Amino acid sequence: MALGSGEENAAGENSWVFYKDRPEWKDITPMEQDDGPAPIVMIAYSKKFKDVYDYLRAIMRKDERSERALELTEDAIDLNPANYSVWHYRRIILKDLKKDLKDEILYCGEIIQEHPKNYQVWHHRRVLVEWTRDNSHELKLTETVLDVDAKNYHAWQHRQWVVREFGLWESELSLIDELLQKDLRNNSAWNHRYFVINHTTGFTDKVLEYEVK
Amino acid sequence: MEMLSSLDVVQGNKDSLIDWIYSHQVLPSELDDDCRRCGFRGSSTIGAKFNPTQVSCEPYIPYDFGHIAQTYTGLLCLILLGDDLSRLQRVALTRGLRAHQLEDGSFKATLHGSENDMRFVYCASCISYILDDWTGVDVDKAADYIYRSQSYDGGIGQGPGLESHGGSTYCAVASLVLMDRLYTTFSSVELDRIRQWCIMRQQNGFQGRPMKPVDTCYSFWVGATLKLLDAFDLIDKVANRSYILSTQDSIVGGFAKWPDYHPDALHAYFGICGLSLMNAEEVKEMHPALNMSTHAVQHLEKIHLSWRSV
Repeated sequence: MALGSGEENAAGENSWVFYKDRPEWKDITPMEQDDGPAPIVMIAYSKKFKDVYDYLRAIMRKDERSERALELTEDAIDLNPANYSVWHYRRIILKDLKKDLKDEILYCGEIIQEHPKNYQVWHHRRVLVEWTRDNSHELKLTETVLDVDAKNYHAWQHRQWVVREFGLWESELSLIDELLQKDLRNNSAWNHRYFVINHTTGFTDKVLEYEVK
Repeated sequence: MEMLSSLDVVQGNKDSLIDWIYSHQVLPSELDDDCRRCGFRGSSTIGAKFNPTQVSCEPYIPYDFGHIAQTYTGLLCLILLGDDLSRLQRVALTRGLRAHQLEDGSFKATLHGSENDMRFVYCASCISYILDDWTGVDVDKAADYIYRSQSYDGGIGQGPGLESHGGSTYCAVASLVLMDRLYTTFSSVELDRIRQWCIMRQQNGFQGRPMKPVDTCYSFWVGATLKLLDAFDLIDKVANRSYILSTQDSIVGGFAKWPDYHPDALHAYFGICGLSLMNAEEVKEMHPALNMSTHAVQHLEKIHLSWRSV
């Protein structure tokens, strides 16, 4: 199992092992970035970042699709969850290895909660749901994120997609009511209300009367 | 820095910067003319060999593809740096662009594994305008996507049904201006509703959505939208300027989203742009739709003239 950055073992020591020191990676020659002879405004990568990404570059060049490659993408994502190429490569491996996507959905949910405004991880989530057609966790996931930030645009966007894609209109108005109780001025909630009514009952006279009240 | 007429700070490195940008142009292979992944990379992460004068992509690198926002940024930077754009493979770039447009008219950012929304419609529009070539965009479909993204409150969201937002409203209006489709897409009533939505975003500085805190960068996103809609003079310029300046960091410089918050490059840039829209003395005038100085646009226009005379 890949270790996250700064993880410590029971003795309080940092137990991260560089890929260059892992015997099971001896067959791979790490590949450096090439920014030419006069790079400007260079990023000060940590040794760990460079190590992980030097190996990632090498393994992506070979287009290796294996368990170890999958674990490496996890480390790469941990260091930079916005790297869209890594997420794409990870999805290719998941498909190739026919991995159980239930675990991936859980993993994705964890990353979303750590990085709730990251485009790549929400996109990954959407792809997983498209593949599995399993929408059972999506409303709860967006509610968890909205609990922390009731106006998170990504969460609302994902929720709109799930609701429309799977016809999950039933519980929407009551969620919106709850959010408006907490903050009547939550514009995102009002927008969602319009979206739901527009796609369900429409703005009939009866609905309008109720809404105005 | 270009907006502050301070490019001389990087003057000595101009050619290196230009070379570095060109080294990220993803080109078609000689073996096939599949240009779908053509564009500019954001960085050297994929490990391609540095080669600013290459004319094809040999050998093909797996997972190497352009990103629409990086193509846009790369082109903009080349223009600012005074490059003549002669190393661009324009046909490859427009073919690449075409491959990123979806059925609903919006654009995704990368050939594989990307979300799609108004940001990338804007990038596609700028790229096409800069390349002086709209064959990469189905303009009817893109304009339709923009039209359908106007919300019940008059503002424009990232897509149909989504909450109206200062950033997406800018991207939508600027795209239509660049496409020359503003007045054929929205009626005058609909344009008035966009103007009204934008004006209502001013509290002292501007907010990005109703009932959210103001943020320096919206002085540009919303301000520029109003400029493009000929309604900028309706705002309170004194309050706007006062807010932007209050977010300046007196120790390290730059601007932040809020006063006494940490400054960053994005808010520094858009703080300056926000001031530019009000013709602040120390700052260059800018082209509100292309998001660069009019000085840089003049350079682009010269390049266009030379292309058209061939």
